[in-house]
Amino acid sequence: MLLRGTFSFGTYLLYENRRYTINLILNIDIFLMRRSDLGEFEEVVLLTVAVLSPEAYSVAVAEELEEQLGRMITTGAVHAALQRLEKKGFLTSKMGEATQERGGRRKRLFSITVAGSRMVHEVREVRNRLWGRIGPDTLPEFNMG
Amino acid sequence: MNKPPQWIDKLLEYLCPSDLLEEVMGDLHERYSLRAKRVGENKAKKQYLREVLAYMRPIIFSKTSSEYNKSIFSNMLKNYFLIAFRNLAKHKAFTYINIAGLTLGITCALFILLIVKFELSFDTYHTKADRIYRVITGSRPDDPISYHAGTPHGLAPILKEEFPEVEKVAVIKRINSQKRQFKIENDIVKLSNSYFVSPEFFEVFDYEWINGNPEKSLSEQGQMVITESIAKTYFDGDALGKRVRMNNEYDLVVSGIIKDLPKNTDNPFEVAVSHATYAASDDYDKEYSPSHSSGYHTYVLLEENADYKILDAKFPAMIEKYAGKEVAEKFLAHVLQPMSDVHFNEIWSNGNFKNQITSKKSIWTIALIGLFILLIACINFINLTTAQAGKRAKEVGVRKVMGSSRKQLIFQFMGESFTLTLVATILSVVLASILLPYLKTLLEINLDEQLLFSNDVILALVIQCVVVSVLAGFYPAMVLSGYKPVSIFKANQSSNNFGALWLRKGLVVFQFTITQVLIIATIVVVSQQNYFRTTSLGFNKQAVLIVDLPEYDESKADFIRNKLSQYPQIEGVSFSLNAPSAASNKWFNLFWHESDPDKGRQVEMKPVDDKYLEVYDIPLLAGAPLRDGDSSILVNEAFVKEIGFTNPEEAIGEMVTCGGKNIFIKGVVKDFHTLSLHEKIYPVMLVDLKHQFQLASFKIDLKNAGEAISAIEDQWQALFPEYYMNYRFVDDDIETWYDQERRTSRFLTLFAGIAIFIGCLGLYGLISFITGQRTKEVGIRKVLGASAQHIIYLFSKEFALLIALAFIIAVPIAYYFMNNWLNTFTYKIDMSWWIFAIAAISGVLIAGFTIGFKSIKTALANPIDSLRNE
Repeated sequence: MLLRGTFSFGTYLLYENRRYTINLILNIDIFLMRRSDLGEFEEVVLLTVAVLSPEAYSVAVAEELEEQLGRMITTGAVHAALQRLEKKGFLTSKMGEATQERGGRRKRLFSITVAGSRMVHEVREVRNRLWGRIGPDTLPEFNMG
Repeated sequence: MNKPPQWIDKLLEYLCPSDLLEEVMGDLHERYSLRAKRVGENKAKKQYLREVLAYMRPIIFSKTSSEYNKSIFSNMLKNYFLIAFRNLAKHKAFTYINIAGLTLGITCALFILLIVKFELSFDTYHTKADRIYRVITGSRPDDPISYHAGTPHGLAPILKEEFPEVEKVAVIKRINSQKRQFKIENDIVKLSNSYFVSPEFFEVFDYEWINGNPEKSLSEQGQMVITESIAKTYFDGDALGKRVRMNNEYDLVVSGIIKDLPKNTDNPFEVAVSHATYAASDDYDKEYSPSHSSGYHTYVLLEENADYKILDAKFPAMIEKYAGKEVAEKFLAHVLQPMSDVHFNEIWSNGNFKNQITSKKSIWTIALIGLFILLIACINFINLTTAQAGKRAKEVGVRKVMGSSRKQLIFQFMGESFTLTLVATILSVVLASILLPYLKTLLEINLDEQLLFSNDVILALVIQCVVVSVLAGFYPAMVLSGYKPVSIFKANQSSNNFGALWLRKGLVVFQFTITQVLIIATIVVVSQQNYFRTTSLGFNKQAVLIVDLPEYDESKADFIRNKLSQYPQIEGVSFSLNAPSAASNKWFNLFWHESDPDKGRQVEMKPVDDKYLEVYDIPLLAGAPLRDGDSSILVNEAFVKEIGFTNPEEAIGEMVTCGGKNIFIKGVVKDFHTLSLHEKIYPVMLVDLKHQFQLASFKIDLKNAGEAISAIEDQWQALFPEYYMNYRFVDDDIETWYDQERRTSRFLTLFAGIAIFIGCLGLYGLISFITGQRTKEVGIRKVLGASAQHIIYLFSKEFALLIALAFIIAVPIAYYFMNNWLNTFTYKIDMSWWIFAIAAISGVLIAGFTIGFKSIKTALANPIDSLRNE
């Protein structure tokens, strides 16, 4: 949600019958939240976090998604999605323990919040409703292999 | 196990925010090792780069990408502000002193900037300004040649005809003061900014027309153009086509209206009567001759790329062609003065209409004063901040221990000084906009207030803000950030480390030197101005009321004399061309005397009647006074000296030749000042020339001045119903000659006062800091038996030395500059010792008062209070 407002504060000085106006105009753009809906990639990341919980961190999620989607998924992309989700309040994070492969660095572990849970449920509900309303022979047949 | 490429890691370390680095690097390395196991090192390396690049997105690198991702930088910034604010709030007195000092300093500098900008902007707004020149006339017999802005009447047509490079010639003449009266409907009003103007003037210079154009509105006889505000004030906005009678002499029609002129012009007319009207009158002398009219200015517009120096060289030939060889060699010279010089050059601009000549030198002096005041304010800031440094040493120590770098600390302290400067600047702008109208009346300057909001000024303020905050904040920042944490915590370090102390003392001396110079300058200027006001001019200037005469004839003069002699309040009446001292109507002529028959000498002619000496109390030294209708003359002592006599008696009966006539000297009067005190006393001739009379002088009893004035007014109404009665006292007129000096003295008094005040603020801050720091010491001293006097002495001693030092430095500087200034006057005060004594005493008193209050308070405090609380 984007709140945009213009606040203007004006006063004037009077002398010798001339008016000097002083205007202070503040343009304020307030980003309350960027978007409250869920992107497609964010949705799968969120679901993957749920799958991997409590051991969900960016590398694990990226690996999992690569396997599931069959294309290369960079940790950077996952990291960004995780940050966005956290900002939207669907995830929380804490620092986990360090491992050998990470060169002794800690990892950030993510878990789903109540808001996140409600979101995935809502999304699922919408999908289910839509699936339920598709007529029996509407979708062309294909071989799922 | 192989590691991913090192250089990529280095790059990442450089680019990635440090708080993110750990997890990002961890992720990347873990992924790499997973990949390496799965697909081999080589492929993993290629994919590694892609992985790294995938992090290059704004959400990761933007500083506020998420809660945990907020950079240290912005957190610290917040902390700096918090600490700065707490610090300012904790030491309220210091904050107020700092802000008050800076605000005052910046306000002064701002005012001075406006004044300088205004003065420099005179007549620069005309689009052709770089091609406009004023013709200056030089009077040859004087040595060195004296220059004047007035030109002979016949010059303009000659210039147009003779020189192809002259594109246009424009003339403007200020209407004589007694003629600037207009009968509008039934009221007679005096409009002092009235001029005769030729239509070309409006083509050479830029004016905005509301109604009419130069061709139609000013080329005919009897036309006049007025400004919008005159139209509003005197014609209710409906002026066009209205008939006006000027000085009961010319019938005029308002034929055009122009926008009000900007204030930064040296031709500030409000009423422009067509030059053709003047050219048709008796006063206009078509001939081109050495006798020139002082208020008649001629401007030329040269063609592009024309060199005015070349034109200058052609003038002698032109004068010879039109006025004869003798005039060219002996009497007349012309020079062109560029428009950009008109407002500034004291030699060439003699005779500017507004007498508003401001030399470039004085403008830069003013600017320098502004700069110094700002500097004094900055010094306050430096002194107070470094004095306080001790209190913040611990903070610096803690910050350094916690890992602050020196750069960060400098940044922090500079930021504080910037914040203070910014606040002071904003306050100054508000203060300046409120005070500007008062300042204008106080300093009698006609500033355009809109200047305050012009882009240049805003830009200057921004620059000022940065420069002042750097100037004021840099040294304290360096000192504070340079503290070593170990030494701070080890010993209870006081702020009085050696370097800072010396710097502080040096700055105080510097401050007080400036202040002392300003005090001395103020005393000199003010006493010179007093000297102008109080010096006897050699005649009675207080009790004489003067009135411009519209016309003189015997019957009217007799009528006035007879009627007014009945009033006891009026002690005498005299008719003359002008008062003994008069700015206008000075009339110089040449005379010859047998002591050197070939030498034409300059003499000021004063047409007066037989009562003149009585009315003005001018003593007669030898011979007899003038009789009515006398053909002999009276002269002054300077005249006697000029023709080679020392004793006035010897000159009686001498014959001089003047204007082709032989005249005898009948008497000698004591010298009196005919011109302002800037000039020497010239030889003067008092002659009875009735057709020249333009002024009536009434010697009145000052106790009953009101009755006398109303009596004169009554008779005046009866005699001259169609004229405006323009009366004033002689000394009022004389006062206006010293406007420049009065303005200078007010300016100096004001700004010297402020400089002193700012300096004292700083001193007060310093002394209150020192007394605060030494409360315990004072307590112990008192317990051990020190007297209050001793403690006051302890505190004052140091400052007294500093101020004495400042005084010693200030005296030669002030002496040098003020002596130069005084040398521009012929009659002047001496730079005697008492001026310096007053300056020294006032300096000591002011400083003593500032310091004394705080130190007495400390000295009288009960030691229990200072020693009890630990």
